[in-house]
This record gives sequence, structure tokens and C-alpha cells, in this order.
Amino acid sequence: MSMKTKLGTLSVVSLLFLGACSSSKSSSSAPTSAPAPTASSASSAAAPAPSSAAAPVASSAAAPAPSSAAAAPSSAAAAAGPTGSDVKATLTIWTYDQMQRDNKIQQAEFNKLYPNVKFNVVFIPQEQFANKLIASATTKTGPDIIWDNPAYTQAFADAGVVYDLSKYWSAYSDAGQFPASVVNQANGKVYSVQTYSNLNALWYNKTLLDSLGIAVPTTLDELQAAMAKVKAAGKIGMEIAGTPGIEGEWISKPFFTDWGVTGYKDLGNPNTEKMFAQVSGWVNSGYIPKGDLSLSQGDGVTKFEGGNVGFFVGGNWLISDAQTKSKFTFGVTGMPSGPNGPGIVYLGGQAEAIGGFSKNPDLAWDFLQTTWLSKEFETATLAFGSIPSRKDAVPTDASQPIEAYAKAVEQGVPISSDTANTLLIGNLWSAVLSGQTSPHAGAATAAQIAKTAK
Amino acid sequence: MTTALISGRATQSPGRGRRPRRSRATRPSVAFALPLVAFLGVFVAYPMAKLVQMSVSTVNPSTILHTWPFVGLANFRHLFADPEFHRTVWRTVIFAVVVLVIGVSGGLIAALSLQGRRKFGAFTYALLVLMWTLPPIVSGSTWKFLLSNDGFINELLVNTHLVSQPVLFLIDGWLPLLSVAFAAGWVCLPFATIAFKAALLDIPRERLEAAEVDGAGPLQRFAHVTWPHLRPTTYVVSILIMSYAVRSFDFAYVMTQGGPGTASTTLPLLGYSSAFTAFNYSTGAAIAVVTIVVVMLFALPYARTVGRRE
Repeated sequence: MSMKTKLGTLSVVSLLFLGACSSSKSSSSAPTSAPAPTASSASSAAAPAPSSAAAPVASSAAAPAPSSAAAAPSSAAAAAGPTGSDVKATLTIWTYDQMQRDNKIQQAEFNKLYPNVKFNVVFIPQEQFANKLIASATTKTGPDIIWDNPAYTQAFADAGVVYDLSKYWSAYSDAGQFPASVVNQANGKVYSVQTYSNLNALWYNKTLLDSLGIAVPTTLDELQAAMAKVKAAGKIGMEIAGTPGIEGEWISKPFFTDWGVTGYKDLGNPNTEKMFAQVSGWVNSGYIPKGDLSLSQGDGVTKFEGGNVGFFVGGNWLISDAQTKSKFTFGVTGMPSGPNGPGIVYLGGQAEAIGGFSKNPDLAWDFLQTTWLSKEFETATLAFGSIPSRKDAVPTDASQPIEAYAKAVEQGVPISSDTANTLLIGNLWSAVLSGQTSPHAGAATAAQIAKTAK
Repeated sequence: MTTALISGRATQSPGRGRRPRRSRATRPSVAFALPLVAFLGVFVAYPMAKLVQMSVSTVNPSTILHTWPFVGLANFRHLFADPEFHRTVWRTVIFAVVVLVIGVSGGLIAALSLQGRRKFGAFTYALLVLMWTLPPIVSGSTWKFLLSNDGFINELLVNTHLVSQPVLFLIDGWLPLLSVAFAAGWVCLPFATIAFKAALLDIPRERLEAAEVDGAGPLQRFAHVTWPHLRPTTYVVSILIMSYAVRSFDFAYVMTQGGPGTASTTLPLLGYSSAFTAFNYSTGAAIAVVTIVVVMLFALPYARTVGRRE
């Protein structure tokens, strides 16, 4: 590829972006723009940062042993000797998570093994992240370590901006601790791993349900009956985000699987219309306030915190904030099952990858496995509301919300990498719930999407 | 005077039929324009050419770093065959018209009502400038808050018994598109008001006084004296507001994300989501090219008008 073409690619991507933004500022500051499934939401939800006090691994006693250096097929580590002090390098990390920008815990821990390794953490707003990464590859100078939405793994792999981790992963002794759903593959190769998961579950206002004698629902029918009772008591049945795009699709997933629509190719299933009819029926019956459908998940939780809402489809990263603000008892349970299957949720969170043009891929892998993939650090993610991906990192005596989410992780599925159709399905969800599109017309559009689904 | 000193010929009157010769010093130098031409070439013409190339190629994450396969007008054919694109074009037209009406009529009314009110006028103009400088993310978020179902406007409407139930500005039917257009039109008000104010100051006072002496009422004075003076300004302001409206992205993005569904999605937002959410760069580029052509339709008459004036 000639330099001219590279410059052209850079300039045209910039033009597209600037043109789209016209006179606006960075969309990063848009309060509704961040899709929920990622860890950036955790920071936006004011989740406490994993400070040294909060994160048990910060203490030297809990520091992970430098065994990772031996486990990794790292020439850098092998040459470095026991302390790794001979290794002099700078690892550049790109993240869209403000919390990670300021987090030095893992770096400090890694510097115990590699004292001469420096870190350059670059914060990039989420909306710009994927395109900046792809554009940066035109000069073959991307980051060493990437933290981004797992949904983009396929796009990044196609663009060649992520490193093939297959050889590292196959040699990694703890690989079995990670469910397959958090090991992101593209074209048959491993490209990224989620160290923790962010996912949805059904929140319920226990105080309110107890006062009305309502049991925690486990099926859609029970949920519907419970919402009817809550509404009859003058309260709000449920808050759920009806926003378009990625967030809408993320929210809609369990409702589709409830009706047996498990993938995009199944969208032509007649049950799609039944699902749309049921959920839009909840809006029409007043169980879900139509006016709140424009609220993102992050905004909807504030309604739930008010105490007059029976249920809320919420993510784990919102828990700690809600626990602080709510003046009532609430619980979390898995998404209800439907007539044709369980309510399966997506496993969001941040995917850690190595840059396709990293000059230190071995060292970068050492960093990932020594810190973020280790049991100690994974357990520490609980402190800021995320669910560890490692099976051995969830304590057996986990508190109720964590336990509910941890159970949901077991049957969670990776976010779809079919980004074009993800957008369309999210828009469809939003259109049907708000009444812009009827369930019948929505199902017809869904059937069209199924034809182009990957 | 400077010319005379340099050339020593300025005092000579040119002969009949002979074109006055310009001295070297007054001849516009092409060299002065070169930096601007180079700048525009690098930062406008070249990216624009690549954008057009992208719109006639297949560009996605797999191909963006390699040679872009040429597909001719296939992207445009797919685009024009897509019913959603047609709906988006219509929404863009409606959006632009609403922004235009609010911007121009609001600006004109504001300028006329502030005419001659010195203290109040100065204060209001200061507010308008503040409004103009507000980042769209701030004004968009404010409008989103105001128009929400439990926002200030609905509280007002319900408490004054104008409506019994909150109006779902950001949800129901055409209201999301109209609400976003209203906010985008609102932000055009300062520009239009200040432009009309400048034009009003240009009207010879004696003409208005003469019309008044002749017995013309306020409406007649406006129709026969003020409006003819404002017409060229209105033309230019309209073209600029239409261009802004067609490429406007920020308010829809902040207030509704183009939703519910795609109810408030206009061309720039559709292009953005195609390119940067779905990673279909060539479709995004094709939409951007269509948008640019539409904006050019408004920009060319403007450029012609300005050129004629100069």
C-alpha cells in the first residue's frame, strides 16, 4: 500500500468523522452515547476506582508470583532473568476507560518483575476508539495493549490491527479457567480475552414486591403478572432502555432468546413478532413508561433508585452506585426465561488484546497474564462491580447481586461482531417499543435482517 | 497615494479607450494565494477526492488498509434502493425546513423587536452571543432535559392544564424529529438575529422617516422600506442556515441518538452510524457524498451572491 493511499485513508476517515461531527464537540461527552456493555459505563456510573485500599492485590502480600514469565513463551522474559531488570521498553496502552487511564496498580505490580518497563497510557473516547485504531494502522504504529469493546474483535482482526494470541493462549496454563464465551476469536484465531464481564440481569425492588406479596419472577409470564400488580398499586412496573443502536440490541438479547430467537439468522422466526408484541404490549399497558424509553440504561437506573419502580433491566456496573443511593432493599436475579428458552445475556466488558504492530508482543502478553488475567487481579475487579471471567476468581460466598450475575455469566454469550446488523436490530428494538413500528412490521424488518446476517 | 509614489504614473490620466495599467504593486499576486490554495488542496480537495473514491469502492475493516476494490456506483445504487435511505432523505428535508423557518423567522422577529432598545437590546444580544457559543453538547443536553416526559416544559404544560398527560416530545411519532429540529433552529437564532440587526442598521433613517411622514403605518413601512432592504440578507442567511441544517449532526446525536428507531435520523447521522458503528465505510462515504452534493446546491448560490457583491 503506497504512502499516498495511507494518507488518503487517514484523511478520508478524518473527513468522514469531522464531517459527521460538523460543529459538534467530541461525542465522547455525550451522556447517552456510551453503549452499556462495556467497562466505560462502569466509570461513568461512578463505580469506585480500584484504589489500593479497595483492591486486595495492591498489597505486596497478594502480589502475583512471577511465574507468568515462565509460563509465557516470552523471549523477552526468558532473556530478562529472574527480575527482568534487563528489559527496557515502553508499553503503550490504549483504553477508552477513564478509570484505567488513572489506574497504576497493575503497572506497579508488573514493575516489580520488570523495573525498567515504562507505560504510556493513552485515553481515547470510546466513540473514537475503533476508528482511531484502524486509522493508526495505516502507519503501522498502533499500541502494544488494547482495551476495547469485544464486539470489535472481528473488525480489528480483519483490519490487522490486533495480534494473534493463539500461541500464547494455547500455552497459557490457566486458559481453562476462562469460559469460551470470553475468549474472543476471529477467523479461527484468538485475538482478545475479557478479564471481566459486564452483563444484564433483572433487578427487583424487594421492599416493594414484599409489600405487595409478589414473588421474584422467573418467567416472562410471571414478570408480566408482577408488573400488572405493581402498576395496579400505582407504581411503575419496569424501567428498560429503549434507546436505538448498540445499547438497544444489548438490552433486547434475552427477550429474543426467551422466544427461541438465538441468533441474527433466526430473526425470521415467527416468534420474533410474538416477542415484539409482548414487550410493546407492556409499554401499551403502561407497565413500562413510554416516556422513559428514550433514557439510556445509565439514566434509567436513577428512576429505579427512586423506589417507585418494580423492576429494572440493569447491568452489574450500576450496582454499587444504586446500593449507595437507594433507600430500599433491592435484589438481582437472572433474566426471566420465556416460552422457548432462557433469557440469555451478552457478556460485555473490556477485551484485552495486543496491538497488531506492537514491537513487544511477548512483553505485552507477560503484562496481561501477570496482572489482568491473574486470579488476584480478577478477584479485585469485584471491588468495582464487574464480574471476573476466571471461574476461580468468584468467591464461593459471593453476595447476592454478584452471585446472580456470576450465574448469568455461565450461560452468557459473546457480543455479536456483526456490527452492521447489531445497529439495525438495536434500532428495531427502539422503534417497536416506542410504537414507531408495529410488532408485525418490526418482525418483517427483522426477517430482512436475517437474510444478511453473518 | 502609495501607488503614485511607487509608480510615478498615477497622475497621468489614462487616454480614452486605453485600459488603466495596474502597477506591479497593485496587481494581485498569485503568490499570496498559494498557501491558501495549498492548504485547501491538502485538507479539503484531497480528502474530498478520497471520500469520493471510497464511495465508489468497497471499504470495510478488511480492505481499508489495502487497495480498495472499485465497484463503480454500486454503493449509490444500494443506497438509493434502500427504503430507509429514502425515509432519511425526507426526514432531512423536513428537519432542514423546520430549522430554516425557526432560524429565519425567529431571527427576523428578534432583530425587529430589539431595534431601538439600547439597554435591553445590548443585554439580549450578549445573551444571544452566549447562546451561540454554547457547545451543542450542552445545549442539546439541556433541550433533552427540558423536553423529557418529566422535564420542565411538560411540567409547565401539565400544571397550566394545557395538556392532561405529558407530551412525549422525544418518543411519539414525528415529535422527536421536530423537537431536534426545533433545538437546532433555536441555536441558529443568534446568528440570524445579528445578521438581520446589521442589515436593519443599514437602512437609511430618512427613508423610514419619509415613509412615516407620508402616512405609512408600521406594516407598510416594513413591507415597502424595511423588507426590500432585508431581502438580500434573508437570502444569504437562508442559504447558510439550510447548509447548516442539512449537515447538522450534533443535536440529533445528543438528544435522541437518531431514535426512537430511526425517527430522528438525518443524513449525517445515518452516514456516521454506517461508517463508525457498522464499519461500512463505503456506505458512509456514499451518504457523505450525497450530503455534500446537497450542501453544494445551497453553497453555490451563496458563493455566486457573495462574488457578485464583491
